[in-house]
Amino acid sequence: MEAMKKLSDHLATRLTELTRLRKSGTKLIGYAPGGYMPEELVYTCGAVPVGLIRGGDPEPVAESAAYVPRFIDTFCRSQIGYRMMGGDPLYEIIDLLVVPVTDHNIKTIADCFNFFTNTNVFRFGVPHQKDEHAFEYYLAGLHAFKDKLEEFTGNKIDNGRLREAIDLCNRMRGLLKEISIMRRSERPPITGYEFVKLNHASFIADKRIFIDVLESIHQELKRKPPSGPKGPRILLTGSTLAMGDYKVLEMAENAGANIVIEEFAEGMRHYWENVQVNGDLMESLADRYFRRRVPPAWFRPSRERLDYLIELARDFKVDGIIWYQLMYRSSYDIQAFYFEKLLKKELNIPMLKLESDYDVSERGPLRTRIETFVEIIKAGGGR
Amino acid sequence: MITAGVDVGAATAKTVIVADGKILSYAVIPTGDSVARAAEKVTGAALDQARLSMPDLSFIISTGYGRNAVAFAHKAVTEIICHAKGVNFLIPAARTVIDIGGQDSKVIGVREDGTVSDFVMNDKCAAGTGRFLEVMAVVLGLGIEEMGPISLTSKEPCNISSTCTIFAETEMVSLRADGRTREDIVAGIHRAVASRVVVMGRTVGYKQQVVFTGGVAKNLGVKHSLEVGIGLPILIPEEPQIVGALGAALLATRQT
Amino acid sequence: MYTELFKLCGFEPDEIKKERLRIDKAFKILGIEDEDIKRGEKRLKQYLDIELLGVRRFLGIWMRELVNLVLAREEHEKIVYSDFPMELRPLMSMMLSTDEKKAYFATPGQILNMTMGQIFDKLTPFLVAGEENGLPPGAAHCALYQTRLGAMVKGVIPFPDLSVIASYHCDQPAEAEQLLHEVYGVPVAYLDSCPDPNWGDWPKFNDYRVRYCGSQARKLFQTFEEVIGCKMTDEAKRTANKSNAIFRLKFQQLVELIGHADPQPISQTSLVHAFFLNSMPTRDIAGKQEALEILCGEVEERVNQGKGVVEKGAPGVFVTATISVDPGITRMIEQSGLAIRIQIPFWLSPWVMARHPYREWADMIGVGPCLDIPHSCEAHVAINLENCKAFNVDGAIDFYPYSCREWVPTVMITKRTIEKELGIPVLVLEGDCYDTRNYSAGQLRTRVETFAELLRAAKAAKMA
Repeated sequence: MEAMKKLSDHLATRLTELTRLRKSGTKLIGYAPGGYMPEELVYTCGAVPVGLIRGGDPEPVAESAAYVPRFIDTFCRSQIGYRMMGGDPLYEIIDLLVVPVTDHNIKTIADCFNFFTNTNVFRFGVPHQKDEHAFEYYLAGLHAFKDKLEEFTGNKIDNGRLREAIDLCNRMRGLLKEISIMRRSERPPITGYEFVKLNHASFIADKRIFIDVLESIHQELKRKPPSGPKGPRILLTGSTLAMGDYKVLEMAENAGANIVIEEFAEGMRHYWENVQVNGDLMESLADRYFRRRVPPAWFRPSRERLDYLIELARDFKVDGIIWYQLMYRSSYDIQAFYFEKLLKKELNIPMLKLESDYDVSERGPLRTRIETFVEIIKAGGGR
Repeated sequence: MITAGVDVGAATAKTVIVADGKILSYAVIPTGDSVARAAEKVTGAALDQARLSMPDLSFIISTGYGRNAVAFAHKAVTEIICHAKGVNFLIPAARTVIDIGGQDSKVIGVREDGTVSDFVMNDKCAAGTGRFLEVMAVVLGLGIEEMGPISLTSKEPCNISSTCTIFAETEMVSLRADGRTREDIVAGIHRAVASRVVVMGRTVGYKQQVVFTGGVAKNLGVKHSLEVGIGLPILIPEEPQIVGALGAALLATRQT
Repeated sequence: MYTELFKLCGFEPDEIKKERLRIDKAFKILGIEDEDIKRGEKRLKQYLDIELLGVRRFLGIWMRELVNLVLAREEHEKIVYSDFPMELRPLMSMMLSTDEKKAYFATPGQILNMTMGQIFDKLTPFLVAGEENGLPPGAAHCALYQTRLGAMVKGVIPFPDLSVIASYHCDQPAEAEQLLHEVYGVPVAYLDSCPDPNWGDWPKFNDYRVRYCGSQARKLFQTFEEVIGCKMTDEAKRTANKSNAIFRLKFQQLVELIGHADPQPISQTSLVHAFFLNSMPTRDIAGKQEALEILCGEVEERVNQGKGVVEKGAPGVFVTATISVDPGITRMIEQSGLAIRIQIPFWLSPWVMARHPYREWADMIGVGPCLDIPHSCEAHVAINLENCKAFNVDGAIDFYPYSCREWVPTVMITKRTIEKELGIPVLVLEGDCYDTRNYSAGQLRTRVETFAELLRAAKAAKMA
């Protein structure tokens, strides 16, 4: 695809471009994924947001052992590993790391960077409930973040420019969603793997270029006659689907399955909802990023998330769910236990629970499980 | 004053006899299934060599994993303390000791006077110990003493990243199936062992001179990988296995 | 058959006679047999300063709660559970707003740890049951929550009518209680907050955090009133605050007395029962205060007589992570010749002490429960540092619970900070406060003995 080539060319030079921008005074704001940091605020003060979503490699995990014991979520441990190994310049050129704190695993990223590096770190909290007071708390955090950005960049965040940034990001999210939900059709025109890579690019690419690419892709896919394979339809859900951690996607698709939707911080939670401008812009941001955001595992009551997933499974007509979690992310591990039973009851479809510590030796066992699972569904079993 | 140090490890038992700041004799035997018997036997062997008998010894310190089962010892001191002392005697400029044995590995910070400033050890996991090398040698059909020399002939060591020894075995088998050469695989194994220890030791820090002891110290392939890992040259004492017992014997001279 | 044991736990013969029926019943449900009782007696004599009346009295408070806990369903109308690390004052405020018959409050995980774990060493069946019912092994789940879940699932302790849990210290309690709710239908009330203070904030915290915590507390009380059917009273809150503060102040004095004494007058294991009463709700407020007064007096006497459990002049250490289930580890540290001046989190810095007594506890929730540690990693490390300084220790031992996501990231940071700021060595031990299967005493001993030797040599060098 023409547009995909344009995107990969852009990504190949993106690092150089970011370095150049930085030299000319633009601030680069890195952030931990989770979907709670409004990129709009970063754009409005003239800075560039860069999502730190790399993962899947065993080396940074091994490297992190010098800074934090292993009993923390693998993705979170990897981040200090990438930074200290020095192989990925992206980790070193950010001027500020923003960590919206959801649970202690994400918080660890902030603690490690605070203590072991001289990167500036800013945190604000994400409460685990959605009542009025929790909303107020999150909003207060956004205001603190806004103040920090203004102080850090020296630029004021004015409503006019914020509105423009919201519109821009909405447009990107809207396009991503349009493309993503094309997979609702019986013969998806784009594979899960292709879509995930596209989605991941959005964390790093220049927004305007990226939107152009999305528009082209969207048009092209609309014109494409139904041709995708008709394999078992899978909802992939879990804690983190990092950039570079594609093994599950590859294995599932090689086994003949279609990943039709992925519910992760770096998946649909990133683009599913748009900001609805309604009076105060900060409140509108909080409304999208907190109230209406797809619920992750550490929200209480957890029933909201489970019901959401069940609806999603129905909506996309999935034949099975793959639950992919990383080691030591306790919230997900506990939910997996009772969710499976609920799922069977409500939808009568099977669920496969997979766990990873980004270790090379997992490949064989993961492949065996995924292939078996796909075979079970193909044979009509699991129902 | 004549003193002795008895180091009973899981695999071998060692006794060193020291007098007037010099090593009189030493012996090394397999521990077998009885710590107490091994301690007696190896001490007997060392005494014979020095033409002495038990009453000639003023003070005996035991060390190693079986240190509390040596009935005739006057005191038990941990192997970390003894290693530091022993290395300090053999190489006074030593400031960091990397000890890799059959079952465990340690990194020890040593002061000028032979006392310990900091230490870290792994005795929970076979990866990063001699056991890792033994398991792999069996799979490859090699003698353990062949491993080091073969690894040094490799131009492109494989990357073996499984954290678990059991899984690394599987990973190695598939590397072989992929057609990787024997020396590249063996070199990869050495790199894996070394990197486990190197990362563990970072909390202690590496300062020259860095000394390598323990049963695995005879393996030049691991020595090379360690040097690459820490970026510093590494010294190996002539008889790395007896360092613990030597240190114990030296500490015993302080007991008057 | 358990007379001797209960005497060791400070029971008078009359009370044993009076409670015989209840104790028999409870022990039957718990599966406590003769050999367990003998083991319990042995362990108490071996590990604690059992000759001190204060220690025995504290043990008694926990044993009584164990019996109460097991028989709660038949003796009370409603049951409310919580567990460490929940802030005690809201719990006590609720508890004191109701009468004893109406509602029973407990922190079952803690109670089981202190009794079934520490005294009888019979916790494994509960741990295994917890593992099989939603908190599997290999995923570093908190053993405290495995214990309480397992005990409920096995039917040894009742399911509660309400579970109150704090979800700001760490993530595990709230998730484990969600499981309780989803699978067993137990209503859960959360005291939520975020571990979001920025590095450099401590010891300050922001206003909106306090407001949020205040709202959480109000919500909690509302739920309590609905589920239990009682109104919260202001008097209950005042009593809870005041009695807590008085106990805390006295405990602080005791801790300082022990920490500045040489030789170390009593084993740190003997303080654990008193300490955890700072988070276990009991109606026996007078009893716990009296036990504390007695213990203080006895320790003072020992200090005056120069009596101790560790050699005079021994190197002093600061040990983090109170091991509630295995007093053997703490004893082993002392027996290797190290005087434990202070255990964390026992001591509060003057700044914290100035805030704690008589302050609104919603304010305190904004800062953190117990002792400000959960404010942030920065606070955790800073408090460790303050403790080392206050007691002028020669070294520190961080026995960290490997399954505690709050604690784990602080470990290397604590080590480097203390070594750099104070120039004293820090030994890091990987362990578990609640599950003895997750570490090997032998392996720990090698490290501790080496560390003790290292400290002795350093101390001798300093003297020379």
